[in-house]
Amino acid sequence: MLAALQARAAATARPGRVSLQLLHKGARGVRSSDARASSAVQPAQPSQPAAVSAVVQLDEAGFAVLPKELPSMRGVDFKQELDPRYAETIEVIIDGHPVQVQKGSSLIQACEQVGIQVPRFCYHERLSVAGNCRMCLVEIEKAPKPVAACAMPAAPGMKVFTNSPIVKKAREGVMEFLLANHPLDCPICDQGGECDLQDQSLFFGSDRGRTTESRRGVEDKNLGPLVKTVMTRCIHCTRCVRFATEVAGVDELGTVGRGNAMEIGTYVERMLDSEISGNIVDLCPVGALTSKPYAFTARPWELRSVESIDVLDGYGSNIRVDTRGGEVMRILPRLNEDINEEWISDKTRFAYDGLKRQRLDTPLIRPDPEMPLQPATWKDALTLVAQKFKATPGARIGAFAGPLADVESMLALKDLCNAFDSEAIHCDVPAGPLADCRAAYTLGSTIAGVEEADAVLLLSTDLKREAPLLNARLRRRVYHDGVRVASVGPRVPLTYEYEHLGDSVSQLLELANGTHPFCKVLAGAQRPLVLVGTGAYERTDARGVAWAVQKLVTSVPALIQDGWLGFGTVQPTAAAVGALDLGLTPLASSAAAGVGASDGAIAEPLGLVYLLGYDSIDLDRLSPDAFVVYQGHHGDVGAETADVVLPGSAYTEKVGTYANMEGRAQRTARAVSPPGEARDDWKILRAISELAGKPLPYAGVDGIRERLAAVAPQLADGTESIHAVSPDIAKAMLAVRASDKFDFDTKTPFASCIDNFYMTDAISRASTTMASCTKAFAK
Amino acid sequence: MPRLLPTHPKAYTSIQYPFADQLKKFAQELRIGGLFHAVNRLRQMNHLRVGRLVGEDTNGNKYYENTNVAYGRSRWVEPKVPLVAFEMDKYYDSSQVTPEWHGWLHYMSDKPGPIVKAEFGQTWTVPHKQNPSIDRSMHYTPPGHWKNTLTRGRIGPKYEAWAPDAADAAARLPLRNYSDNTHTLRIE
Repeated sequence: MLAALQARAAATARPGRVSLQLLHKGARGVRSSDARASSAVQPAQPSQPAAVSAVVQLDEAGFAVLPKELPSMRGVDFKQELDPRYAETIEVIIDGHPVQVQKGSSLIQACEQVGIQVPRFCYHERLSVAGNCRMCLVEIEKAPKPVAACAMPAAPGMKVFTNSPIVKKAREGVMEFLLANHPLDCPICDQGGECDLQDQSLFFGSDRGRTTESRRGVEDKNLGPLVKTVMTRCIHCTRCVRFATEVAGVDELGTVGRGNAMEIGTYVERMLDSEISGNIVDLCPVGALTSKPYAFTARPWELRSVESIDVLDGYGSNIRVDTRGGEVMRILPRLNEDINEEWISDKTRFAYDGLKRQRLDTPLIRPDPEMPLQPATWKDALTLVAQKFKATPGARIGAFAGPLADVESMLALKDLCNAFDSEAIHCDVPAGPLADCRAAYTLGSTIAGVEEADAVLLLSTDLKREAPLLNARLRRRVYHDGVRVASVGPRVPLTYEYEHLGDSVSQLLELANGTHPFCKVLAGAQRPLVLVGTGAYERTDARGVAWAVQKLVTSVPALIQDGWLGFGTVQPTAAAVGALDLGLTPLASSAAAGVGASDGAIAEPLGLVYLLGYDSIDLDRLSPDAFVVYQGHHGDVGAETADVVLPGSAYTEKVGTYANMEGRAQRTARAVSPPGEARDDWKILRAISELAGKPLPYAGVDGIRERLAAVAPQLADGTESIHAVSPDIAKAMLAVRASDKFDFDTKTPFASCIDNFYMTDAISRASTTMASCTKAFAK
Repeated sequence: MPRLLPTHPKAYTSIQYPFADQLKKFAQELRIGGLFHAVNRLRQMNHLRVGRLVGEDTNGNKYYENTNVAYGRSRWVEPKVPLVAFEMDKYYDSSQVTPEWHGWLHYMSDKPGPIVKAEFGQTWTVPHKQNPSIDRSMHYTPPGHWKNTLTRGRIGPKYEAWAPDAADAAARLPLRNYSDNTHTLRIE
């Protein structure tokens, strides 16, 4: 302990402060029982450094006589010395305990920092402070009456009581008023069991009410096919209003009336048209806003939760899959500050009923081209496919991976095709000519890094539909810091003000040549950001567009610098980055999305077409004698055209790796079993290789992960970290040749890669909830 | 001869004669209504009690009070049953107590039925009806119950398999719907 003290004192020695010295050589030790010197948690320190004694006096027995507080403890705050965050702390006395809390925090945050939960309804850390529920009342010494902790900033030396009799009485009174108009319908309320009002009335409320007045009735509002309202349950916390206004950027929700006549609703009857509207269901502390598709289907205590990843878009939101009896009952967000914070999009949340419809649950074989598909055994189906692999020359084998394919199955597909001398393994990504550069096909700035940008250029993207949560992050940046956003692409509402520069290639060329006025904004920015939608590469002049983008990126030096990669693609599918990391060939353009085309060149009509969840097949370009194998989990276009259907698993039924748009590899978890005879996707491919006589060199999940680590280590480490691309490599790969000449299509406007947010893949196309959303919201 | 002390008077306790009290009350009932009446009282109540007749309601129930016993046991109702009844419990039910007597019987007020009716009775009130399901045949049994001839509906599959043929798709059971039991319970 003595050595530790000396080391600390030495480390923190400053001019004007004297470090601890011992004069007596034979001192047996320091008699100090001050346990705080060695405790990890530092108590509050006096703000003024006291006088420090130069030497240590020894008593008759030879022990050091130390003051009650060690000199080093009085003079130096170790936390402030070692951790700059603690320089920004103040001392508050909460329930008699002096504690250090961050400067600028409100009392409710201060209590939270030291682990005291103050009950609240309206306060939410990601929304503005409303202070209207009054549940967080605490007592402050010398304050005339209890104050709302969410709206009161913590001041140095403030004495706060969170559990005093006054506070308890205040909470009980508030709760009594809240319950005065709350219906007693917990047994038929969907929030029952996970209701803040239920829990807090149990802990802080009275055991009886005193009201004899009749309760208030409020008409229910129609907010669309996703959110169910029972407005008599509303306690007017206005969380939903603040979320809609501040995060979602729709001003449709609001409050009408005052006092007892106050109501939450849309001012005129209209639906809540936002891609992230489902989050108000989570925010609502009572059962006023609940999930319409989930209504009356399950109780929270019946559910079994599995933490997983969403794959219905390229964002990689972290989700919690709640199941009961082998059925997915609902999907909720999981906290991940780097990706989705605590929100998820409506497609992520509500498309789960698509997992129960149109499922492929048994292998199917078409005995004759004119006949419908017939159920078959796995043995027959796999043997037939293996025979075709053996019989078809490698140049005539083509494979296509769809938007929901996981990395393991794409790797197995690639290895299988390579074993049969085929290199035509495609993925459903219009990354175009930039498919070799990881800096170009991922979001180099990372999702959280988008909030560091100070000038943003969007190209051919409708960010609100392609990545609604990314758009919400950008919106926050625009509103809080006035970041300038410009767009070359569709003129669509993005929930914030942006400069629409046009929708033609000519504006892009102006930007690339440096003649456009917005170039000055980009050049003057510290951290500019260019976000390209994949719609830019679905054009016939995709190569030219890519060249112009490269030219633009290289002409703004700040776009690629140390610690900042301000150029990236907004990938709309979960399979895209993983597929490109594995080296699958992207489709050059939408015209080339047919079969047998790679980069626009048709070599030979394919004899064996293997579709791994690939449904956007161009039937006109399919050779009539081609043998089509469809492996997937939903009966869609691909299964209809197939000669053999092999049932695979959806993302809730398998453990699969997916890389999101920023290149972050995450794994889904198996929440339920695949239906019927369906199997894990990569195992099906492994079985085919076995029957075809060229077994893949891995038989278990560990084996395929080892193989993945060899092929694409950035996808296999499982740490969910992002492998950043070096700026030098990015610069070298994005360099353009000045001599390149392209024919540009200036008449076709830049468009978004998705036209209907609610239906982008086989699962959301099979969902009835998404169908009703399409009917209600899609233009 | 020593003078003998007079013998101590013999004390009778309920332990020695456990049915003495009940026998006495049975004899009182016999005196009031005869044998059938006394036996019916025994069948209806687990012990016999005697009290003052306070009144009678429209259903023929008689309300008694005995202020000598503890509060909570001092008021009771004796339902009207036929003199010769084989299944006694088919004939009486707590819902036979009329609303005006309910308050008196449950110590909510000390006003007997006729006074309550005079004070609070309204011309527009619907006549009181007893619970119709005293009769076992009136009891509700869900479909699938052994007494119900209607079988329980099928709940439907957990997932809907894709059918290449449209005719197959049309013939399938609908997906199970937990929020609606109309089909499973066959509620019309």
